[in-house]
Amino acid sequence: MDYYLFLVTAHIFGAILGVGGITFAEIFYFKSARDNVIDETESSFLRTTYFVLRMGTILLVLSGFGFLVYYRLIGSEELLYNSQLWAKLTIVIVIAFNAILLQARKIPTWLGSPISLVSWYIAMFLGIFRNVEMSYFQAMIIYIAMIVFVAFVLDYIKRILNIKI
Amino acid sequence: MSSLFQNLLLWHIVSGVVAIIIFYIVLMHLLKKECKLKFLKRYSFSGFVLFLISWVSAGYYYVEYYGKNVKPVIIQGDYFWAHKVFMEAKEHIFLFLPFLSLIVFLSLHYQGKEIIADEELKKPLIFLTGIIVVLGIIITLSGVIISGAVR
Repeated sequence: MDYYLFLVTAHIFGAILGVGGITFAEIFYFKSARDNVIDETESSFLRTTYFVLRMGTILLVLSGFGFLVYYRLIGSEELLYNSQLWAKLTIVIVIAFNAILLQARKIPTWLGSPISLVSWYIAMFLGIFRNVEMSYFQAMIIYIAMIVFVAFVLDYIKRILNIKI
Repeated sequence: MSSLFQNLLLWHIVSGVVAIIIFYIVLMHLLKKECKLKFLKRYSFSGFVLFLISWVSAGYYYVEYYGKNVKPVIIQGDYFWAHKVFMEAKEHIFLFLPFLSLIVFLSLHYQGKEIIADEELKKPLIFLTGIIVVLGIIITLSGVIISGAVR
């Protein structure tokens, strides 16, 4: 397996674990919190999902930087100034700092949850549609608009399920 | 670029990024209510060693290759500011990281029990670890900007 193929495989695998992890983290949270109590078994499932999510993040970050090294070594440095690459880097940093704020309980979950969920999906779509022309600011506007939209959707689901935690 | 310098660049980036990830894990663990001291000591020590590897490999690459072969190309190109702003800042901030990470490790090694038990002592260590992570990310992004300017 050559270096590039190895990186692509690792990157896709990381994205699958990350997007899958964050999706199931939300699903398990809603299922667990329906009775407004998260018991030990439910908590254990959530912890496992977060572990998978973190593994996906690490794999994604390492393979992502692997790509950057690869572009530098093969003389395709112009790719490092790609606006979508910088949008993805920004989103990964947001994911990292959002996780710190959630852990430190410095951000409310009504905001932290949609940030995590949308960040992973937008990063995935930026990877899938990398040939679509889009400036950094266009990507960021879509990203912020989606966070606001998903925050309302998650809040609506919480109200329907009568979740108060 | 010879294979020696390719390898040095690779080691610099990989060990640097992994060290930042490790200190990010340390930070997340310090924010938990219950910390495992053994885990924190092991991780902070490996992060320090990786920063040191990144430091030495980058130092040799910078002195022996970057100054003679990469810097002139960037300075003459459209993205000269990548060196003048980002590399000039990076090469100084970069010097701090192994020392900051050593302080975190030594604090945990010698005063770990007291620090973990006392929230007021834990806060400065969380702050210092946070600084390592933030500086690490700034330096990493600067590295991407500098690498992208080589054309």
